[in-house]
Amino acid sequence: MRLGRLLFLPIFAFLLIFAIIPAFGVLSSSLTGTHGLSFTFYRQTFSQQYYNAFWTTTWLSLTSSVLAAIWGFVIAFALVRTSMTVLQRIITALSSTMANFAGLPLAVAFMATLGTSGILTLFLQQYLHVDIVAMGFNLAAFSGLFVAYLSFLTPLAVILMLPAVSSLHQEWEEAMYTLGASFFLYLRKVAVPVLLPSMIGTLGLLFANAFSTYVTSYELAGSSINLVPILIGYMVNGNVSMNLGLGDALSMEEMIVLGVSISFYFFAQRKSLLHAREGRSANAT
Amino acid sequence: MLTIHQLNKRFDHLQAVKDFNLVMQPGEFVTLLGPSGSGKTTVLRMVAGLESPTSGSIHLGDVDVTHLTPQKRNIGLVFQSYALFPNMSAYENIAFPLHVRKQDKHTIQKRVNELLALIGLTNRKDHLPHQLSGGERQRVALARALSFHPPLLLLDEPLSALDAKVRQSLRITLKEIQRTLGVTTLMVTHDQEEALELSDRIVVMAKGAVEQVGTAMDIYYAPQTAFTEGFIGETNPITAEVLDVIASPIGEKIYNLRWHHHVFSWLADRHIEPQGTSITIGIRPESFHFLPVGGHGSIEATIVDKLFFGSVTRFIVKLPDHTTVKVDAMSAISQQYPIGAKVGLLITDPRLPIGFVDEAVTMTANPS
Repeated sequence: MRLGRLLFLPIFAFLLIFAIIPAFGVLSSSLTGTHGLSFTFYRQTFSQQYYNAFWTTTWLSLTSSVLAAIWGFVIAFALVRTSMTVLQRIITALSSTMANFAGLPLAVAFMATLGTSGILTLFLQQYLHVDIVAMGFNLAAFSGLFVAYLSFLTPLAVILMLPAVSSLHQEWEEAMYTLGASFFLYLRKVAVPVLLPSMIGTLGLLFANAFSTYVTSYELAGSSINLVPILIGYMVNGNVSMNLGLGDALSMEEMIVLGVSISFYFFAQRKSLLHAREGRSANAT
Repeated sequence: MLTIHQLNKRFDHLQAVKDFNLVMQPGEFVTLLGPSGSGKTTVLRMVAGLESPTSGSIHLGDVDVTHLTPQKRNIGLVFQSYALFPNMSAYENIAFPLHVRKQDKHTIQKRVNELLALIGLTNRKDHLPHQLSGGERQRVALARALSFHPPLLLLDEPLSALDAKVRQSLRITLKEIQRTLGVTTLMVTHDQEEALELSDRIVVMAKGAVEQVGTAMDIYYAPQTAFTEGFIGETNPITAEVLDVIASPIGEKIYNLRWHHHVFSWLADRHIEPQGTSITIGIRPESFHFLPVGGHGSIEATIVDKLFFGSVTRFIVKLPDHTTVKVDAMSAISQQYPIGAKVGLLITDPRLPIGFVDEAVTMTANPS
């Protein structure tokens, strides 16, 4: 038992050095003004510009993660039920890769395909006479980031949903049929209610992931969109104006948002009926 | 009630079910008994509509249900794993099929409460499945399958996920409920004891085909194939001399046989014919009886080993020709027969009425 705990030491040490201590550093510098303890930086974050940034980031993260969660559920559900094992393996492997395909390479890939002179943009224009740029699609704006976020959030949703979806019992569906219910009634009355905690949990993680995305959004949109991580980047890098204290205050506020959305995940996990199989002792009839 | 005709099922290269036929009478309890891979569950799933047959037909009353969806068959099915909906309470699980059938609230309430009382779970109706024990869950599953008054109830290994004690008590509950409601029931099991105890008739299956159909007594005492004989209980194959053949009061053929100078009667079985003057039959261990040495035309034998099974003790008994047979006796009397003791050994056919044996022996001993 004791030895087992010792094995966790490197992880605790890692967390301490790279997460907990820096977080306290950020907290203390966000609260330190020229004359000691001060809430000046926090007061600054309540101005219209930062309020807008939080609103845009939340809206972008929420819409993209809700759609990714729904889509992810549909794909995971189809994957579990297909008898085509090769396809199953390919899509699962592809999802794992795609979920981690973010940052600069993803931004470049998107510019090359859906940018103003991207392959797909031109193809649609020339062969199908669909001008997505004229229709309002802009890779450097909300619509572009929305699509880019979906490209890594959806595979992440598939990976997160797969364990829960695959623990739906085939007998539940068969029992539904023998009792006279249709497939849609099965979905409505059993599959979705049983999976709802996992879906909410997944949504929490996806939202946190989307909210804290920095490199992808920065490379694609830069200063043309007002997102919290991009603003923090400016404050810390000194690109526009260096203001470490304000950056730290924004970081703390972002951490609170992330903390809330991740706690959704833990709360939802505890509510899941999928892990509550063992009830009272079988002898106690 | 249920008529299955020439049913076949093929999965790629595997013939899972081969020319299966069965006619069930209303109210009958029939069990498909066989080892895993014998095709019994596949038959049940085809009757439920969860699997479609490669060929053959299934009729429920006059209706051909072979190609109907499970929803349209109106058959109750109880799964081995209970398959209760985890997000619904015991009450909601039982009420579910009635909601699907759009029955009014009052009817549903009345029916569910009636069933909860029948399974003795009225005070646990609001519990979710994971808050119930295995036995309770299976009773809820049974009530759910019965709630919409299905003409046919299917049970897929309903007791095998439970421990021995609960299994025993639930067997009794199951039989009582089936008798009370008079619902025609088709059960699948690999547990021979369960099959013998519950069924009006048993269908023994092996490798997708029917080996034998009969009552529990038929299957147990007159196995028609080597498989059935080996699968159900134990037998001692013996070769006896046929003295004569007589008719029983109800017209059955009865052999008077002699084995090691012991004369006994044995109900004839259509499938086992004498070879010249001798016949080979399988004797169940409990069809042997001990007497004092030299008693009533018995065989003089020696006890060489004893195995304690609980209520029953198995004796390994050596005969005058040095072969051995297995004999089961109630453990209560086993103290009287220590290893090495000499005993008199008798065979009685449990299917013959008491007193018939003596009569037959007397008749053979004093031919008139």
